[in-house]
Amino acid sequence: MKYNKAYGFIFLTPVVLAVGIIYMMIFWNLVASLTQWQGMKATWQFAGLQNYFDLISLRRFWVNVKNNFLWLFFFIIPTTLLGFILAYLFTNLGRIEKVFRQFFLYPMALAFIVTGTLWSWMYDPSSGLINSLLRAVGFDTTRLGWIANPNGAIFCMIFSAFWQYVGFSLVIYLGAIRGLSYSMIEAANIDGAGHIRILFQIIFPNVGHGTLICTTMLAITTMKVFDLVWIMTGGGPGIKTEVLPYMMYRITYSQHNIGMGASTSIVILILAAAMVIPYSLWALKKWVRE
Amino acid sequence: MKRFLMISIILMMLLAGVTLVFGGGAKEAEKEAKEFIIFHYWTAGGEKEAIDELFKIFKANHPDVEILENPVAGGGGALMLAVLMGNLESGNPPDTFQDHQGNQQKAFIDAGYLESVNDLWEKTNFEARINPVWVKTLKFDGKVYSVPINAHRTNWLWHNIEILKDAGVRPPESYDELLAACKKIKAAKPDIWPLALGTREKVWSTYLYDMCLLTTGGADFYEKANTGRINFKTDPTFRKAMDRYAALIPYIYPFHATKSWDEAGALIKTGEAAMYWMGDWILGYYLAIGMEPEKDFSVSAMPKDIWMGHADTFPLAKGAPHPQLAKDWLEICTTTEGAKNFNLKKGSVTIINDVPPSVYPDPYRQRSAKDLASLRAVIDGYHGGMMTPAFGDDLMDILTQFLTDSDVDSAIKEIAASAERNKLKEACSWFWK
Repeated sequence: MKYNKAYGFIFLTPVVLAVGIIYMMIFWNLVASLTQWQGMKATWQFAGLQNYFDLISLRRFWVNVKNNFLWLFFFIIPTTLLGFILAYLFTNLGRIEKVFRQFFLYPMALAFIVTGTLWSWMYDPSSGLINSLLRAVGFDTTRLGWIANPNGAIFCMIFSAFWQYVGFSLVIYLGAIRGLSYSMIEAANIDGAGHIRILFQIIFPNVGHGTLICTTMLAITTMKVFDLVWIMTGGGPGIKTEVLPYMMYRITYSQHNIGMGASTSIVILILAAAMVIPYSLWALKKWVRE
Repeated sequence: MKRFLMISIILMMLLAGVTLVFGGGAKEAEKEAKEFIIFHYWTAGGEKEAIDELFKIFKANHPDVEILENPVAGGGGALMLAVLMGNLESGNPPDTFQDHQGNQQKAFIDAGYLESVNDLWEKTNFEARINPVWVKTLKFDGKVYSVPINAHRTNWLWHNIEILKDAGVRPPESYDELLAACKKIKAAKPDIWPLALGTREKVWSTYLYDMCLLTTGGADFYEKANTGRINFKTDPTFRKAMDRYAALIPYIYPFHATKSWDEAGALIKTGEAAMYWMGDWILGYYLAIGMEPEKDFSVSAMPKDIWMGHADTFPLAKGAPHPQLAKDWLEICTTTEGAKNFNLKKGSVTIINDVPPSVYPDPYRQRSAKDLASLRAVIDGYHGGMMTPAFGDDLMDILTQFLTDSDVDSAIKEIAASAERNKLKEACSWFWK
């Protein structure tokens, strides 16, 4: 069949329309972020960058940005690392692996809302499972607040997300490790390399595409984490566990400050793009296209 | 031929659909004349019985009218509000709905969703029968749009009688007594937290804020502060109020972020906390979990010479499908019988002063009703609509943060910035007209 440009464009139209809606919304959002829109009715009064200045003058904003970065480091690195190590152990398990894989993957089937509710029950300082168990073995739990502790709450929350997502990185790495040729590992073994050396110096550099997928997907998850924060603490204690998407929701729908909410979402977009795009380019070059 | 068949089938289906819709519509219209549409979220035990009392009276007056409730359960009305907003915006309003007062109601008025009911207030001589605070917070530019039905008092400090007795503390009636009591309880019983609090719903942090404003600067200052008429950054009284708030923080149950208002209230029963600053709706909860009034728990008003609280109201919707029925409903709410029957079940007191306090079975509501009829009254910052909802939502985030770090300077700075950003003073100027 002869290649026909016109047909190509016609067949692409639905896709272009669907994608176009997203970009139109982003553009609309950008315009809204430059207006003084407060309350339910749109005003479309141009306010320049005022919303952005208001935003960066909030202490809350910086706490949120910090929290987003805490999520990035304390969620992505442990989840990826443990997933990788588990995947390696799993490849040595033999047939029982199929059963264990299910166990680790089950939490992935839960919605964040379920995970959040479960863990906030367990973390409850007075009647929660963790403190009750600790009390049963004789610990003094009066100071253990878990998610009620202003300094520790975010880590408790990140841990519950970690619990849920370890199965995900495990499966990604399992696939990646399966794709490796066994002779490479055997050769290393014969040369006398230990398990840890094989793991980090032989296997890890060769599953770069797995790392790329895993970290990028997890990064996207952290940038939009909202439901877990909403259900577990509502951003509390105070604003200690708030993240940018949560603040965006509060500003837009609770305070009806649409202009500022829109500017928050633009900031999230910029931050996410600034992290994910350079990282992906770098990782692609280093690990996949070599 | 095939195509012709297809088209005719489609046409027939369309026609059938159209007839159904319009045929049904005609029947609907006939029925509608005998309907009364009301939106409310009183569906829990006690609340449901309360509104049923009003329905009973309404049914007796209009036996042929069908009451169409659209109750959306729970959630403090957030769900109902979403449905209601959709109906109002699409020009399909109910006859009346459950609403608050002050700035909470003003949002509906500004959007043009409410109709004035001045004639009804005049006809029932309503203004002379109620505390002036209700007039002040329901009259916008000389017009009233609703009838308030119940009053919940919120400047109550509930306490565990035994703990206070053991610590040798009298129930506090002023801020200084409260702080002294906290210190004494903490010294006598280090395992017990003097003050209970639950900020799982962050709004309760604003109740303590209201209390500090009220006990520091008095009722006039309180009204000025919550309507943005003070300079938050430089006002010395405001700083003092925030300092007083900060002074209480070490005595507050530390894990408040995980407790809802009722769970925090239960700390009084279990003896984990001694005192609890909460509205009188907690009374129903205490009775339900088997606490005995004046034996297990009691209450003191703080400050004792002011009544603070808020009301639920029924406004008349603009373009209500059955305006006459709606007005009859509102009139029932102004009657002694309707108000009394409703409030006895609801656990609140009547707005109108002509119901004698002795009708209430418990001493707390008797006192609330007596105080409301005789004392200076103010309404709550958030639920009473003293401040705008936008500012209030910002405030509770600031205050819950303040509860974790006790940083008075940055709290004041943020409150000032929020008041400016949300144009609090301009938005609340109606209150001072």
